[in-house]
Amino acid sequence: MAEGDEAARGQQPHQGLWRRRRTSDPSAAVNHVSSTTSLGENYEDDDLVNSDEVMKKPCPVQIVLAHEDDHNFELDEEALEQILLQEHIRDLNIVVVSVAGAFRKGKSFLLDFMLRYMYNKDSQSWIGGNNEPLTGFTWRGGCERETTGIQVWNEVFVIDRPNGTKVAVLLMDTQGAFDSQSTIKDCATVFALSTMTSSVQVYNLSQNIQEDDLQHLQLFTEYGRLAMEEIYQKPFQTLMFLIRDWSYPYEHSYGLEGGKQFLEKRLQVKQNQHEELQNVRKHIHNCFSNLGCFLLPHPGLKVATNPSFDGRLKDIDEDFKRELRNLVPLLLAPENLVEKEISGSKVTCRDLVEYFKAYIKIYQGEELPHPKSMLQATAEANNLAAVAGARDTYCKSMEQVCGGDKPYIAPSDLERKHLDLKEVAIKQFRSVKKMGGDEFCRRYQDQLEAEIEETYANFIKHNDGKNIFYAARTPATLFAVMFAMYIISGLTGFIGLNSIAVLCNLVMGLALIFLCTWAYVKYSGEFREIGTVIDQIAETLWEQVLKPLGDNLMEENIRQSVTNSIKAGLTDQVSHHARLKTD
Amino acid sequence: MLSPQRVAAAASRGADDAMESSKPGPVQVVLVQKDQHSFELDEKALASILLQDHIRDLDVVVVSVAGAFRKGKSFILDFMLRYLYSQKESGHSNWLGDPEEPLTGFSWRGGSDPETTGIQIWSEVFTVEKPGGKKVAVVLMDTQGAFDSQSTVKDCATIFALSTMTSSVQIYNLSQNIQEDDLQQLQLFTEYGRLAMDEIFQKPFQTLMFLVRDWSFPYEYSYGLQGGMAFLDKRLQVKEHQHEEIQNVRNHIHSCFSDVTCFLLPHPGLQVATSPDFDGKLKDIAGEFKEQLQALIPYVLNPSKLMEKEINGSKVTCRGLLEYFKAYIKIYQGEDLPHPKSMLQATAEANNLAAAASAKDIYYNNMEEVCGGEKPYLSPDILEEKHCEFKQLALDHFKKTKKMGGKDFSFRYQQELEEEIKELYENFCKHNGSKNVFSTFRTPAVLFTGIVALYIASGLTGFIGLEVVAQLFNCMVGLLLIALLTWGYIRYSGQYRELGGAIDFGAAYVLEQASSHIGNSTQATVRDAVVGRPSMDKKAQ
Repeated sequence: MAEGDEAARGQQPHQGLWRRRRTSDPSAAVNHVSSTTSLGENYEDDDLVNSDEVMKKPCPVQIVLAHEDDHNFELDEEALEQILLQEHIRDLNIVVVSVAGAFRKGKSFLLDFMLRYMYNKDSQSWIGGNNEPLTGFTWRGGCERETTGIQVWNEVFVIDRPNGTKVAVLLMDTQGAFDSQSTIKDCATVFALSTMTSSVQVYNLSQNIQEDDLQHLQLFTEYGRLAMEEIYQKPFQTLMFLIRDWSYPYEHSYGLEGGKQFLEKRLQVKQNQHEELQNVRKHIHNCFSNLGCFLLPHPGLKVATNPSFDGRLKDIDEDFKRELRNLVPLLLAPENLVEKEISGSKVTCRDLVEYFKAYIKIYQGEELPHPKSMLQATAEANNLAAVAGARDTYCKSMEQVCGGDKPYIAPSDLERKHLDLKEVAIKQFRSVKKMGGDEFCRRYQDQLEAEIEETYANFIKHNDGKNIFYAARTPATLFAVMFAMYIISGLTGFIGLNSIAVLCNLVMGLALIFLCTWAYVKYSGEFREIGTVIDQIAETLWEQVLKPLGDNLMEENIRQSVTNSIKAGLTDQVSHHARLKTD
Repeated sequence: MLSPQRVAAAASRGADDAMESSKPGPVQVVLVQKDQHSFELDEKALASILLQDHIRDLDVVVVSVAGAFRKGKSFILDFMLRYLYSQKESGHSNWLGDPEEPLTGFSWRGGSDPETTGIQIWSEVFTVEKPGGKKVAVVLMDTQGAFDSQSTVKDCATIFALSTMTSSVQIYNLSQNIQEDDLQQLQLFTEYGRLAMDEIFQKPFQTLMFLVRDWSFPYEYSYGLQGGMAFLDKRLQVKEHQHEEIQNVRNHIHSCFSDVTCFLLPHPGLQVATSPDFDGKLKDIAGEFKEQLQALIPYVLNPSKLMEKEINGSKVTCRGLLEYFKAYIKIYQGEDLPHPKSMLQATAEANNLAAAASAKDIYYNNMEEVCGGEKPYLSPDILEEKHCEFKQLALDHFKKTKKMGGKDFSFRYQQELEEEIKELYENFCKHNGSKNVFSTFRTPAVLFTGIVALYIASGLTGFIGLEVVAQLFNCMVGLLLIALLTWGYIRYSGQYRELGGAIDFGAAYVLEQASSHIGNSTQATVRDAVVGRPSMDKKAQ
């Protein structure tokens, strides 16, 4: 009975696939590579309905949706949970095989052969019949993008491993990178998400491994690494470079062996290499536990250029089919499956759902820096460095003019210096060669000017703080009070009013204490609250008592100065001076 | 395209005209030092080609092919050579050549590793008569392929920029499609070129032709120019709802080139691509490819299509081109231009610079709150405590901010940040120190003390009958009073600072002498000055 059930389940997917193929419009152009959003459910035959459960037709399911207009990504949690939280698999360890890379390079085409293998892996002829069209992740020929976001196959395959344990296998297809509607951030997000959640990431490349392919990989994996907190080991697991349309089998043979040699050569780190080249290679080695490379031949021009090609094997070159027979088992044979691990712990289907939720939330946030195009990133770095340099020039020069060890400077002079130095800073900013064009640079120039104005405002405050009469007001007031009290106490003492004299002496003593306290506070910088209170008292005295008297005092001072000058000039006034002293 | 055997003649370096004419070949004019990633112009080689008597004063047409490595750039150039030689010898009849004839010219071979390095031009400059009767010189240029494993982004940008700046037609060789990263690389490379050109009054570059190889979708856009233009229009279309990044790339390309075209070329056939024995014979090449080739080459090189090199609207002669090469290579050998970097490195640099600037602002603003210009004097101990607190705050902010590039890369920026914070702290210390009242009051205190002392002395001496001495003391009182008032005015208005400095210096000198003489501490002297006790001491004396 068990065998019968398994056989029945094995049969149903085929029937489903076959039926869907028949229902498709014969006139529609169905072609080479790529995948579409799943077709709606469409039962033709009631036999499909199992007595135990409603069996959905196997199909790709969009789990990460890409909103093209606002370049935002959203996780379809329900769809993902429906697939991964099924009773029979939710607690199994999971194997995730993902294919990522540039658009229109045959990622979905490859995944469909993986599907074929998963449905027929026990058969030697899993690759299918010569006239059987290829089905699965939908694909078509053409130069425009087909797959968006991330799709997974809605059926999770349960596989017995050689050691007897069961694992769940999930296939993932990703939006192709670098189409005309995607920003670098879009490409990085999709690639990073798929790499973070997969145990085997197939990096689909065309014809060769170029340095820019490695640099893109570097950027995308760095973006992924940033989203993963507390990594104690290498953040990612297996990366398989898949070189499509390999044209040099006489240098490195098709397949895994040739691919390994080729990869070693490309990722070799030599001492005399430029730092930039070394860094890319070290980064890749540091990010992945395993690196592999497979060289796949061209499937044939008929596959590539014929709009009517529907994936049947008879149209595909023999070389391609032979290598495909080697490649797919390499990834999906029970003995080769790699279980998903994060920080050394194996991940179950249930766990994967949680990780997807956590990661998508991080990428929806604003905490991570945005990956940008080469020019934009270089332009930003150039401009930020130029702004920092120009600002430093301004600050250092202004410190020379009115720094902490410089005396007070007239506000008008300070402003003139400020304008001169601001001009110098802006000129320096402009003279530095920067990428990005004038409009982009103007944004940073405005920022520089704003920062300079802000710094200038602070310099004004510092300069004002040095004006001596501002600081001298309090001791001058207290001193005046002491002097006045001394005079009054002398006079009243002389005429016999001892009680008033005592009172005046008391006030003088109090003022003296205040003055000494204030001096200590200013000198040491401690107990600033007390200093502030004394300042306020002095301020009140100044405003209400001394200021009105100020006019008289000044008048008296002037008269006294004139008198002294006259005395100095007239010798015969000595006796008069003596008499004044006596009085 | 293929075959380990090098079919091309060895590059001819001889100055001998006979040698050159008998053995034309590619000549390396820009050499690359692989290990140092520097570029060098072989002026002699270039001069020997461009300064030949019969062409030096002719306007020059430069056709260049650039793009990623191993995509068939040299292969296409060799067919251009075939066309030009055919035209030179026997007009237009069957320029494609004999089906059995191997392809010669710029050296090429099959394989996954780069072949061409630096920039090469063909040693023979072709003289072509345009429909109007004018003769022009035609130069073919081959460039090192971009993005091989030994080239940095700067290397790729330099080669591409140099070839674009010096060519009138730049053929951008792409494989299979136009991807967004192809456009972004083009954007970076042309920006790098634009930076090296001073005073551009018009679009900096002339014609750009996208050449898409191995085009696989003729049912969407047909092979050739017409399909190519339709395809290009779609790819370079600027729409309102597009992301700014995508719009910027397209606007940039349109603003850099006067003319942008696209040609879709089919696959030459798998035998061409995969057979190591392929030597360029036409019989091995797919018919479709040959057919489109016969449309492509004349489109670029037909006399009626030739476009002379112009810079700022002026046509360039062969002699002029040599000078431009010299000028441009010198600029790229210098350090003025910013270095193009890989995406991650540039992003990491921008991230770290932004994080450092933000952290520095946090420190600066917090310190201004504590001891800014409006704040009173702060004890040095408290100031240092605040400094440490805010410095830690700034460093935490820097570390917490997510940055590309990893910890090693950001450590350098962190160290720079610490240095800058230290400098800011020193400045804050100075500003704080200047608020200490007694350092400010030193001069008026000394002057006031002097005035009081001398006044009393003059009174005493007057009293005992020494009129001359009394007058002298009164004069000194007057002088010190004037000095005090002057100093006060200077401090108040901030003008005549040199004079104020001189008075400060004199007062400091007197204070120093008095301190050492009387043996009082500075603090004691200041305290006495404040409470007015010096008069008592002077009386005692």
